[in-house]
Amino acid sequence: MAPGSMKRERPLAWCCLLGGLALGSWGGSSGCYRYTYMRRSPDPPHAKIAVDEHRPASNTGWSYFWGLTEHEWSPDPKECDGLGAGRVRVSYEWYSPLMGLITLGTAVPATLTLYCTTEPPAGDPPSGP
Amino acid sequence: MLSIDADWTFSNWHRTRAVGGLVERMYTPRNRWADGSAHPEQAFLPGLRGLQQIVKDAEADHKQLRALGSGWSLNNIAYTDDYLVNTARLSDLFVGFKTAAMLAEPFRPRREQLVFAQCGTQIKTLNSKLERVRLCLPTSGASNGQTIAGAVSTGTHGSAHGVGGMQDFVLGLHVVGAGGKHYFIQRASRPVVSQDFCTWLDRAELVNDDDLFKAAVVGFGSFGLLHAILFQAEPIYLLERHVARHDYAEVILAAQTLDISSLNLPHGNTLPFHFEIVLNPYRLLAGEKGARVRVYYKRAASDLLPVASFEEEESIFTEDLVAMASGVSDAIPELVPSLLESQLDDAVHVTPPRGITGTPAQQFRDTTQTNGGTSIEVGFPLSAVGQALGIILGVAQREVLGAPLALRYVKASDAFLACTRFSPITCVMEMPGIDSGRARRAHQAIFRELAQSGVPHAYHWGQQLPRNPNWVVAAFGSRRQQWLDARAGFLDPAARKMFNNSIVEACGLSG
Repeated sequence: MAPGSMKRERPLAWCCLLGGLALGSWGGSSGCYRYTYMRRSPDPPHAKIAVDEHRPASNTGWSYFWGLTEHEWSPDPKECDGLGAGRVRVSYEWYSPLMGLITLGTAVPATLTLYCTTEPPAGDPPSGP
Repeated sequence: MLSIDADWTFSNWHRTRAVGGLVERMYTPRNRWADGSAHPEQAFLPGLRGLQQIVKDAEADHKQLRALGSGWSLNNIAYTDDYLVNTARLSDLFVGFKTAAMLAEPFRPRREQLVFAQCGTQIKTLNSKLERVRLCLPTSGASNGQTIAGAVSTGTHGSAHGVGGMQDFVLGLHVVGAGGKHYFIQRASRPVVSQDFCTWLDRAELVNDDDLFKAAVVGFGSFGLLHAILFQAEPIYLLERHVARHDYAEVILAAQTLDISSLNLPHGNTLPFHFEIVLNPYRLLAGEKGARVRVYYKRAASDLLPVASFEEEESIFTEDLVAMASGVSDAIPELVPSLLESQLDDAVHVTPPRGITGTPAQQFRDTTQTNGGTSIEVGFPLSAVGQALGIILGVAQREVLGAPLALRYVKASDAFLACTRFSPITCVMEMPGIDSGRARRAHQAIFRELAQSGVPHAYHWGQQLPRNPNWVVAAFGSRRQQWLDARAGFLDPAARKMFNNSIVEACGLSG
């Protein structure tokens, strides 16, 4: 192999390596993006409302055609004993970026995780017997 | 209604490494009957029945059983891999008694201040509900996400030298024990409720017993499933917060004696309601101002309470980022002192001269998940503070562990196994930080050196502690035997086995 061709191949190899690393880290890490809504107590001092941390409900749905169709989830209110959600987290799945790449953005999954509030309804506490 | 999840994985709220694991069954009892309806008068009743059923299941299957609150403990005190009870949905409460006959005579004039809260009620829920009726907790920890049962039964405390820890304002415990039988335990020397209340409480058996109360109140789940707690709230008050920075040399006398005359506190030399020193162990030299003194003065509340402020948006560090930070602190310890200093600037920032005033709920408010935090906390008699500081700061110099050292002062508790057991005031030293190899080595070194030193000390049950019986014997002496005797009198051997777990066994408390 002529010395000149080695010089031409090295930058190409580095580009491939760096490109691969960039793609890999994008694909690997972008599946971890998370966004959270935290409800606050309606009663002062409006702390982030108490939730059941241990028994969340979750649902993975798909949004299609670059967001032209949206996924909606409305679980049974019995799930939260009628008290509703206290926290909702949206997170990409590890395979979300890959699916976005393969389908050119026409089908991207995300997971909704719902934590039930455990705080009694707003207002004065009940009095005892 | 009782939900059961098989092969469920538990991890604690702070996502501490080596805490939690696979659980054969996780039960979630709720205050709803199977058809989803609530009980019209006694909202707690379906939840109580659920706890009774769970105990019977565990007995029939010969399984260990533990109750789980918010999962705020930084060790496995709430964990067993058999049956775990998620108590979060049991958050019913009431404030005040209508029927005087349900109370012992001395408590009748104060009946509007008595609070009955189910085990899963979080401190933040109590804060907001009590504030609505111009009441508040007598004391709490520094934050608000623990459940009342979890906080009390592990001995959670603030720095209220005149009040004590959270267990010290509790008046009664409603516990589901062997066979699903339930008991209302109160002090014989200070009874609060009468048989009438226990009859209303689904015919709970009334037990008036000082020793059983003092054992079970800091019982970390070892006396059965704690269904509810009865306590007396205080009329609402305000707390005026001041934070100032000092050199370590300027605070060392106050740390050992509570003589605060050299600190130039804003309201003279009377010890404030809450007195606390937070040290950066790597900023102890003259001129470095590595000691932050945080005090709260108790103030009367006017008709209008201060308006709460809060951040609407924030970024949370994920477990991955915290793991990276932990790796960096292990690899490049030189970075730790300045990183710690910047964290302390955020967490314990200096106040304006007139201080910041708010209700207790506004002062001790939401904190964010550390996603990989750990901590060690040890109680000492005031006379041993100097020696203890020498040992802990010495370890911190050798193993740069990225944790501040906070000193808090708490009135001694008569709960047999409270880490705040040293009379008249216990100094509690806490080092909350990121879980890293250095932090774990430092904790082990502190365990070892404190044991060798002969300095009296007692570990907090919800944080990192030595898994051996020696420290329990040394820390609690005859109180340990009183705790064991009270437990043996309340639970038969099979029930004691059911309510044990690996920490209880390792600490020699399973008998």
